[in-house]
Amino acid sequence: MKKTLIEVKNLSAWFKKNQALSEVNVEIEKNKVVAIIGPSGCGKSTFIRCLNRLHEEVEGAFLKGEVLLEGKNIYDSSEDPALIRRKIGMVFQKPNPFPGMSIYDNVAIGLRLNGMKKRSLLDERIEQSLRSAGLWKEVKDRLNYSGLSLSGGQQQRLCIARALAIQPFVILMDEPTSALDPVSTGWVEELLQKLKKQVTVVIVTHNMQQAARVSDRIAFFIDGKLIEYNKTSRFFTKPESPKSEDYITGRF
Amino acid sequence: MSTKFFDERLGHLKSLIASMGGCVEQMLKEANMIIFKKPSDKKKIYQIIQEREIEIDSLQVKLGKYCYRILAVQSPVAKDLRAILSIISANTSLERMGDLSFEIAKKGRELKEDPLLETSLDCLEELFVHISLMVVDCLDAFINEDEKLARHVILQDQRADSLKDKICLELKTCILKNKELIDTCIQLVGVAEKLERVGDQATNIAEEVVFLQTGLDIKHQEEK
Amino acid sequence: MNRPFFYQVRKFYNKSILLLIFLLSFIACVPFFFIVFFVFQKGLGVLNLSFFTQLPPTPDENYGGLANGMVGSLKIVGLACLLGVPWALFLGVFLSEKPQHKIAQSLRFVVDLSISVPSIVIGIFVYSFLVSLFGFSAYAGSFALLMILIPIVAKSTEEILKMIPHHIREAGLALGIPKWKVIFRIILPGTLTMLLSGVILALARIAGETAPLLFTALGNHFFSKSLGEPTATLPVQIYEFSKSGFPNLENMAWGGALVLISFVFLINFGIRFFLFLLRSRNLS
Repeated sequence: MKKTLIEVKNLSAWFKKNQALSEVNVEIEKNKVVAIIGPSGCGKSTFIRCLNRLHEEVEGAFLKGEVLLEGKNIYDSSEDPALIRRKIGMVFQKPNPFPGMSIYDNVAIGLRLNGMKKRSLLDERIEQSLRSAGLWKEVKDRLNYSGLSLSGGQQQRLCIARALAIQPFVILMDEPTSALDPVSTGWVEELLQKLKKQVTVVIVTHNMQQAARVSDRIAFFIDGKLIEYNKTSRFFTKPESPKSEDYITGRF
Repeated sequence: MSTKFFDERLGHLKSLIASMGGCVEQMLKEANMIIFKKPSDKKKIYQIIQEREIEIDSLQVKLGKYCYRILAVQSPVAKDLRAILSIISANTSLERMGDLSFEIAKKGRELKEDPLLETSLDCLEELFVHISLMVVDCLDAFINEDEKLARHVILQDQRADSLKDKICLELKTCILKNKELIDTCIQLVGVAEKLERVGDQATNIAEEVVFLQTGLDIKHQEEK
Repeated sequence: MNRPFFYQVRKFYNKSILLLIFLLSFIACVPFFFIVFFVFQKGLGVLNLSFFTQLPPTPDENYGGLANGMVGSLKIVGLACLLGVPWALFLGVFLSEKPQHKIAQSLRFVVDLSISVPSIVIGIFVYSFLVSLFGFSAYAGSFALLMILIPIVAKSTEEILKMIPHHIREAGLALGIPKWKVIFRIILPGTLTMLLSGVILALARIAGETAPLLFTALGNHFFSKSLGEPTATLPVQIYEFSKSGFPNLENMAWGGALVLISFVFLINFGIRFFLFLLRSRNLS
């Protein structure tokens, strides 16, 4: 059964006068991993930043079109961006634990600042998030250590746990493994497959093999335009667009 | 992925396929000679065929190894992946074709000369020519990635089948007429059958060309 | 080409530059060591209990202290910090978070300029429009110091906040935290150590300022009863006593200098130690 979670309609985005996205239409199904690929500067990051309204936080950025989350337009004037972002979490390219905060606080901060104060509830949710991110065993005895004391791969998983703690139902990942070594990358990829059961994942990646390994659907962008949106297995065997074929075989 | 490097490797693999194909073509030609031209140096030609068979085997091993390596190192996708897969498949087909041609030559060598067989031999020669043409065409289609020619070859397979059936029928009547010819006729049925199987392998290669170009597997579709 | 030879040359070159850097750094520190040395040598003998409890002596008295100056300095500097630091932090946050904003751009220009305004000019400025209306007072002194403190702290705050990569802020926003909470609950606490370094630097600077205080707090031979009166401060006392020509007063000035230096040191170490405790309690 096909269940659409996010529907992007005629989305165009700009940075001042530069158009970064033009007329993108995508339907993202629930509990799938969608990989966004394309050459540098093709609007991949802009696209996912439009999905949680981070795009508008950049000076001079604006957009047109609709992003429907469960049928409701997140760009409706009555929608609070902060509330939208609680439903749509994000993991960034570089691991970015909050400076000067312990591992525990890094995961707890989202909950605390959103009003959860009770220690026992916090403890429970933090353990659960760290377990989901596959980090619990490694950090359970040093939750008071600084988040920055962890290795790069652990930091990235901490950031994933931080995003999971507020229980979003979509997670956006902007090249989450580009700063990690192959082992940590493997960890994160394995984690993605587990996360898929609970959440929908949209991941930007430059690594074609990674996109092929982790995703169910591929969205391929060039110059802000969606060239092809296809099943991953189909995309990597017989893509519909010759441009996609050229890109994935390195003839771009 | 270094594309230029990959394309060079692909070109190299294709040239190996071409030389295997060349061997098969030559073997068929020489087997033809053994059966129909009744040359004086039968033994020498047979020896050449034997050498070609060995060459094809070594080429097959080499190609298999290269394909395996390129898959491991380059992880090709899309058309590149299909190209490697089709080369692997064509490699197997060509080796089979080499084996079959060799067996045809073997049977030709053991064939006794008998003037009574003229009519059925004519028919067999027609099949021979037809199959040789299919082999040449399928190789051309493969090297040039010519989907049209490949589809043409696939259609030719039916004619090969009907020719084979015709030959078998004629040989059957031959046996009924003259029981002394039974050994020769059985040999000839074997030759016809093996030729038909060479045609099947050529069809396989043609189907790989269609797969390479379209990503569609059209094998076994006529059976449905 | 003789590679090993070139390698030796490069190695030598590298080492000589390193040595040069070390030497220059050392030379730059020498005056500091001399200052500390002299101040301790001359000032240490003056220090006793009465130095911290009594009023300054007349030229022919052999006892007394700078208690009123110390109290006055504490009052004026404390008031300036109390008002100025939060103000400057907000200003720094505004400058770093809205860098393209028109008001921010003009404010940044003003801040950059006022950092380089000589302190005596600030003193004259405050004198001309505060003191001429309300008279000499601790308030006027604090206000003058405030004007020195704010641009320094605002600038350092801005620079420190700019160092925090943008994606850290976005990580906060992506958790559904409003922007102001991201800044005040995540970014500022995370950079507290660095921010306080900026504050300490500014504090050290204003604690030693003499010129603006001459025009504003003026000075007082006694304890001032309220913030509205002329008030004695350590730097002004040091300045006046050191040029008085009486040996006992000059000694008092040395003692005052020692107290001033120690005060700045103590505050510096105190805040750092406090932060260390805070940190080791949170992050064991």
